[in-house]
Amino acid sequence: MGILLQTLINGIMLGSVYAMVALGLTLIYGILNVPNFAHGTLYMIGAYIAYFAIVSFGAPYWLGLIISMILLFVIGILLERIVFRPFYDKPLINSFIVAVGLILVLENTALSLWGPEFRQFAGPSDKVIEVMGVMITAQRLIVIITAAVLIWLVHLFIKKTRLGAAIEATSQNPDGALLMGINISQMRGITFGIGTALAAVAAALVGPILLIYPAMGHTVIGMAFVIIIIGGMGSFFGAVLGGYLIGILETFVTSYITNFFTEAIIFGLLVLLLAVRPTGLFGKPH
Amino acid sequence: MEEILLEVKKLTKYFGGLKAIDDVSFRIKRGEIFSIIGPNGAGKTTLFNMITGFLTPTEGEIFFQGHKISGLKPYQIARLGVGRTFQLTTLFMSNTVLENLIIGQRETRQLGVFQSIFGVRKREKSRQEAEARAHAIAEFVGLGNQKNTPAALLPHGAQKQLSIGLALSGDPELILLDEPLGGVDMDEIDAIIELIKKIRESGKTICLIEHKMRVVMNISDRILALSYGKKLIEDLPEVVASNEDVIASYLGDRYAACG
Amino acid sequence: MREKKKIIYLALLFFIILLIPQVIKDEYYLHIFVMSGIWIISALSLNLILGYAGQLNLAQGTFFGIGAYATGLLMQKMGLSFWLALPLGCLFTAAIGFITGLPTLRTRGHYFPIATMCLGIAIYYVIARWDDVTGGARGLFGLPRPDPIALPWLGTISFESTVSCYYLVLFFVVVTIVVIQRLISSLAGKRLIAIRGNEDLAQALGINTMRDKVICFTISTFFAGLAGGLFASYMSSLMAENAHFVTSFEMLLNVMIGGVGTIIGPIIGAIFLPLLSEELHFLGGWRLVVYGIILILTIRFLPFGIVGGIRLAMAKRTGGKGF
Repeated sequence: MGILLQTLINGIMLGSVYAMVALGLTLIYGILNVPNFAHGTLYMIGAYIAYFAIVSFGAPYWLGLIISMILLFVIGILLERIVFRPFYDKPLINSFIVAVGLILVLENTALSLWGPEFRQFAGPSDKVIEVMGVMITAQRLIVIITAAVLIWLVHLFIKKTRLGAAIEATSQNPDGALLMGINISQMRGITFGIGTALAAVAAALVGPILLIYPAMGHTVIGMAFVIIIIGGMGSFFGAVLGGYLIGILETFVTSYITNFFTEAIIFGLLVLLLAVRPTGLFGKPH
Repeated sequence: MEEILLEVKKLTKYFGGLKAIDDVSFRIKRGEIFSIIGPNGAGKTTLFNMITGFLTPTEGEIFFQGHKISGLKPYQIARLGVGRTFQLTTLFMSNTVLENLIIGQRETRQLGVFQSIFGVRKREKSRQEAEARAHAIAEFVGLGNQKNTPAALLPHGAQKQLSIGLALSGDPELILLDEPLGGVDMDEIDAIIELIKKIRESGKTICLIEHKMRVVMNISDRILALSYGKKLIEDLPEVVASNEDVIASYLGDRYAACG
Repeated sequence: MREKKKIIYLALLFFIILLIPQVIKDEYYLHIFVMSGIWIISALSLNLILGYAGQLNLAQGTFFGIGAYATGLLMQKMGLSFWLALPLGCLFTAAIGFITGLPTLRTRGHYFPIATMCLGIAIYYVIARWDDVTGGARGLFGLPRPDPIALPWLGTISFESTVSCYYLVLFFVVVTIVVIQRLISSLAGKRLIAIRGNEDLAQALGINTMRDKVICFTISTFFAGLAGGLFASYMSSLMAENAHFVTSFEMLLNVMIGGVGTIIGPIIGAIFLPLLSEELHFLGGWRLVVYGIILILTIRFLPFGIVGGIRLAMAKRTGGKGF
């Protein structure tokens, strides 16, 4: 029973990270109609920024997280304008190659500047809490709670604020939004910023638990795509639900069934899912 | 007894909860020009899409030359002898007029991959035949001196002519034209009307969706009027033109009441 | 007359290519040429499905890997000669291509690249984890070069030297070019161009787009497998990385930077990019950063690749008369 609960909590924690990253990715896709393949690499940059803020500059944990979030929000806006914007009316391949180019640049700059060594920074609390007979580190709880709060805030932002409504309008109907006087370019930039900031927070939250290294984006981006494909690209609900589900699923499978071919099976099933329901479970048809 | 080329029986189409087509039946006779009219949103293009296999009917059946075609894929229906144009001019934009027309030829559909890599005589013969027919169609639709112009560079009216040519390229029995005069200049309208008449004279059957009422009334043998997915009337132009429901559907009930 | 000129130039070019190993004896460069040949075959295979049928297959590198492993395993575990293992490897790859093409090609728009990306990842993990068969992360070692064969007039040729492999790969490059060129220039090739242009319209014209896509996909994976098989024998060792989507990316770059949708484009890309990558080695860790920047700039300003850029420049010179 204890192990079950432990695994569940770990699963929810992993799911929280996945949900945030996937949500960022799906928001970007929803409004840009381009899957940002470099999302995982930006996640990595978020981790490093938090690391340097906390370790090199001695900032307290929460400040480091906020700094990373803000910086990556700005970077997101810049990237949308400079790197991705010229390609909206071009074939998908071009955006894809640009994203790959971005990955190469960012990842290898990180590698050259900071080396391949694993790094880690400490969370705000070392405490271990006991819940129903299970020992959970404070950091895990922080991840779960912060992620839930942040996701809820983003949801509120989209549904309750004018800016959020404008973003939703732009993603659902760019032409209509344009006619209503919404500045589409700005909406795109802001959404890209938000999506990227979400990835940064996810990385900063999980920094004290997992290791930081230049290629850490790879594992996350694969799963993020799985999630938004299953949940439906552009679907808020699909990304969040999918994130938690996949996180729990992956943790349980790893704990209870060590399987050589987990990834192969997951991705293989995904191919079949796409063949049958090309738009995922909740996605917008393309 | 005239031959029925296309028979639509009790066709219904739901999009989720929306009933786009409601129990519509009609027949198209061989050799006639049959027009479908109705205000925007009446379901005309949805009908076309169901006839050509791009949408599946929720209920009802469609028969072409006696064969049931509802439920078949678009390419299968096209091969049975149904050609179409699209409401939004749909062409292979980065290819020339000639290349567009070659793509639609029967030879092009039929040449196997094996033949195309390893064959010699059939490969060459098919190519020549396809090219010859493409030239002929280019002349027929009036693009004889634009054969090497890329489709994207053609003026709007010429693009409409090319899309009609494309619809003809497989040598179909029935041609569905979706708003062939849409957005066309006054001086180009006559050219396209003449083209449509020429097509009928060459033995083909035409089904037309068009908004320009005077043209429809002049050119059609029979007309089907739709409103909100329902069939109002299927009859001769003069009968349709004086039908109260049809007038009401376009102008609103008040006008109809005024007589 | 222009056709004749073209043929003369091509013949001249071919003659020069034939003579290169007689003039350049440096092993380093000969090795690069052999690898370029292999990349050319793989780039042409990707260009077939991408540039002509318009489908972005992100798993082409994985099929390259399947071909490499299939040929390698047939030689190593089943003791088959290269000359038997290679065609079997290609056919095996094509079979996998056919089977996986059927579900993936049912998707449209953005979903096809994503489906193939997932496919590539799935197959990669099979190769990387199936230790018993593929050697897992360690890979395969000691794969033999092709057995010596007896040719008329030339006597018995062995393939231990790089020069001999140069000619072997050149032979297959020519075969690949001829087959693909024949397909593209035929009416069947027009169907592929139609599918790329507008799949719905192609359907409305009676083209069975699914069938053509699957056939094209199968042929394209066949040639990817060919490139892989040649790679396996030439390099004599394989790693799971060879089936990784990094390989797929590199292939994609070769095609796009060279110029997608032309025969010459992928060839130029497959020669130029690996060379560029080599020349940039002096930059150490920053090599890939520069590479990435070049990529972004090229796709931004030369979306039709090098060939596209050249055509544009030529069109500008003739006053825009060439389209």
